[in-house]
Amino acid sequence: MTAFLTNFFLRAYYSYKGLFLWLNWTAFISNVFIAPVVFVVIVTLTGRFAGQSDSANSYVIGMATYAIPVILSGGILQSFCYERTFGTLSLIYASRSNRWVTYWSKGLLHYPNALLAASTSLFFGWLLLDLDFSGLSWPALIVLLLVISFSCLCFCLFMGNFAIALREWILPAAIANGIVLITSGVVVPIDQLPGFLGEIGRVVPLTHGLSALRAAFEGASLGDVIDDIVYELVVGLSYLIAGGLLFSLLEANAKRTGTYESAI
Amino acid sequence: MNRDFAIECESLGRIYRSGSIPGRGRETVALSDLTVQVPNGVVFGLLGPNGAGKTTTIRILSTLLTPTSGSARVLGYDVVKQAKQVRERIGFILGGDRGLYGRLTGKQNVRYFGALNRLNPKTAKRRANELLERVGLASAADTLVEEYSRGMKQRLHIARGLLTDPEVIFMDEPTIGLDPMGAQELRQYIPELVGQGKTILLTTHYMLEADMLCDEIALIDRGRLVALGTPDEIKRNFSRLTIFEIVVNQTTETLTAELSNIDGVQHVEASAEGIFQKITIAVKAGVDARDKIQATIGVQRIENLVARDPTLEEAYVSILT
Repeated sequence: MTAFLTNFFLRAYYSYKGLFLWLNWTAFISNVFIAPVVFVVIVTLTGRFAGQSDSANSYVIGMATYAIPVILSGGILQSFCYERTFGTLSLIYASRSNRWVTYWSKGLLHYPNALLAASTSLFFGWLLLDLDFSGLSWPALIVLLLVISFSCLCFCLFMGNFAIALREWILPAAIANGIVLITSGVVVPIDQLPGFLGEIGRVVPLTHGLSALRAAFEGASLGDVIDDIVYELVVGLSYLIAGGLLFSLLEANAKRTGTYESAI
Repeated sequence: MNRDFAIECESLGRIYRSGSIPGRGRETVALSDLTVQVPNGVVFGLLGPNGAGKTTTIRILSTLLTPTSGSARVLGYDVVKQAKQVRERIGFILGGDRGLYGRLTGKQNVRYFGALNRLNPKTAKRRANELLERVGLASAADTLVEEYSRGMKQRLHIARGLLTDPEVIFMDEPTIGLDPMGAQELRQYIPELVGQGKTILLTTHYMLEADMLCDEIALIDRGRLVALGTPDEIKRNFSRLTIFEIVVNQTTETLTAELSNIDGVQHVEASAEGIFQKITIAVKAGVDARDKIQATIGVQRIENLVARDPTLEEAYVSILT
């Protein structure tokens, strides 16, 4: 068991270090800290300018949590895409590794980045935009950030398969982030979205977690938002399983068509 | 299941299909009806021009590609139905720059491969150090691979391919990019590996290397097997050539052209050898051209005349042209 865990963490660490090209100080700080804060400020000020001053808290919380899928999609989709671009995918396909473990290990070290990005954004929301923490249930905040990051991680792992198939990470990352931004209630409440978009919102990550987080800022306790937490977890687990199956299907297709890997 | 053979291919074929519009797709036959058996504990050379199907064969045998016809077994395990068992027993060494993580150090690349293959972490660490030392990368083990030269990357491929101590090793142009010293070291290492009971399937474009290392050779062209045997058998039985090497003390401007016109002569090459000229003439096997060659050159001009079997390179060119 110790050997299994050591190997799992080694794989997670080397995959992260070897394939995450934002892993230098300038790229890391700008993507994990600066960009999310800038987005929070821009959207919140735009909302205030548009006369929605009552919704300031809502915008800050929405955009701060939106930083989670943005940083995760950037990191995780790079990891999948470059595995193919660097010609190392064949090493995985010809290895003895358990494919599910390989797949999950690719997300592990991106998880703390998501928490960092969201926490920093909330902090600067308080510092610059008067985000009100007075009624917040702190246990709910901590659990919700962990759960939202988990479900977004699973969604990005799922989308990673498209980065392999397309040998391109920017397009699938943009699609993933676009879907979350539009349908999960980050800016526009889902009950005000056109019908089908609202329905999509129910099965994308962040929607339920974000709704619970907004409630937590208004005083709801962890127990009050447990249903949304469970729903958010179920959405994440569904993407995790679907993504793992898709990863296996891609491998089978690569072997059948011979087109996914040219290193060997 | 015949365990006398490390690798068995039976009527192995692979067709690549491109294009998704029905009726407008294109088919490329990469491998067709390849039947070979590789005994345990030998170096087996797979030779052929670019696009002959060598890499496709290695991809199928290493479970990276499914054949579209026929079957293949490695150590008795079917590469499609028992891919997991095959992967536990094979290693492969690639040629070229790809297949490495540039942002990891050499040691990290090897250790990552160990973790990927579920080696015990302590064993993987020990073997990684041993192998990096063995391939001459110990001093660069902690340097990022993106700073490696091509030869260093090739050495790293070798270390990584041997990490799991595989029974069967696929080497796809392993000396490409290596300097002469590095290539020689690898060539000396290969018999050592075979001495440990390993079977090696080697592809290379260096005929001298194949001649030196391989116990048996399969020559393939456009996906088809065209010759199979030991290097000597290939030279004698398949090449259909006899080579005359003649040292002459005097030559004329038109001599090469005159020799080329003799019936059965396929190729003439002249080069300086000290104060003399050396003429190498490839003649179709079974054609007795010695007298005509001597008459054309003039007996008094000939210092030495030797008829010999072709080299593997000459045989290769003869078979494939």
